[in-house]
Amino acid sequence: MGHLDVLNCGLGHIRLTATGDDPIEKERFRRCVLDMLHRGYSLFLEKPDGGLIPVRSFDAESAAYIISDVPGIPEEWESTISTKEVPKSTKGRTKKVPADKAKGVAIGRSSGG
Amino acid sequence: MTDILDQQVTDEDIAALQTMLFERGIYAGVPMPIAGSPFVLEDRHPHKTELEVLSREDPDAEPRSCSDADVDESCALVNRWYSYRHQGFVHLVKSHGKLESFIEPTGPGRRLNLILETLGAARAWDIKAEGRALERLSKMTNDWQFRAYLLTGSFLETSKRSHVTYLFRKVRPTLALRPEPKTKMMHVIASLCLHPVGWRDGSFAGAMVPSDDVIAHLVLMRGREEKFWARANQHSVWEAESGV
Repeated sequence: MGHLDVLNCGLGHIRLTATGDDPIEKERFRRCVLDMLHRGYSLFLEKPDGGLIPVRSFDAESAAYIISDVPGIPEEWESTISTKEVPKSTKGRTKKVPADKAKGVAIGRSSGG
Repeated sequence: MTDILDQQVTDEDIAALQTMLFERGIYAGVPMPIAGSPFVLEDRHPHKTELEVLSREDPDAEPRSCSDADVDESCALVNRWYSYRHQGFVHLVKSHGKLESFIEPTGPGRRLNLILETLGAARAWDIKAEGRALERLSKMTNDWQFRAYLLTGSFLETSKRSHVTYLFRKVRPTLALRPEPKTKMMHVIASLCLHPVGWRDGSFAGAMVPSDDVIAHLVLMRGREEKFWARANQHSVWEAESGV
């Protein structure tokens, strides 16, 4: 099941789910992910081996994360969507990962310390 | 119950507030203001000014913006260095043509202040949130790392990319370690202090519960190590803020 855990001050983390049949929930997921990226949040997808891959952007239309095409991407993330459909603004080779296939974590902007 | 600016609020109230804020685009939430513990929020937080004013002891005090007229041109910092003998920074200042010096202590008194302020900041943390963060951290670390964290409040992990070893610590900055080329003994490169959303001034406490701060450090190190270093405040090991 695809979900995104957003680290939160008062609640530990809030989970956004990308799967299910509820269109309102799906739309909420897309809206929140796009807004988080716009606000400067750092999003990462968790690989089965514990590694993390940063999310570069999000395609709301296909509900897919856009990540750099790096070695070690799990097979279950392989999307049927062609990489040619990646927006022109993203530089370098990229891949799309359907949001309902990946688990992720989101961290708010930091303030040093 | 938590005393938020001397008002008793329940954990349910806090959960409802954070959920409401999430729906309004403040996904990471806001730290709970508590009396005597001002905080500093990240620059782009939508309610930075209001919340920081609320967290100060005298919320009616107007923030003062400095101007060129406030600058005393006759006084200038000449040099500054750390003195192990005095356990503090020595400041050399030229004031009205005369050289003067003073010592800014970073010794036990300063360190104790940081520890006590951190203790006070714990009033704002929800124990259930810490439990959820611990559960999450247990899935992100191996058995030994989690065991070490539960027992000692810290664990080690070496970056596969840079081969720097990180000592992640609860409510303390993360230490970056590397072996000396000749002696192979580990030495501290830097103490990396970073808090998502914000942090409590004069303490080691962040806006989030301690284990969530550790998760943030771990995630950034594993996912984008260069960004972790770029965003963190890098303290030298002799500074009290390094937590060493």
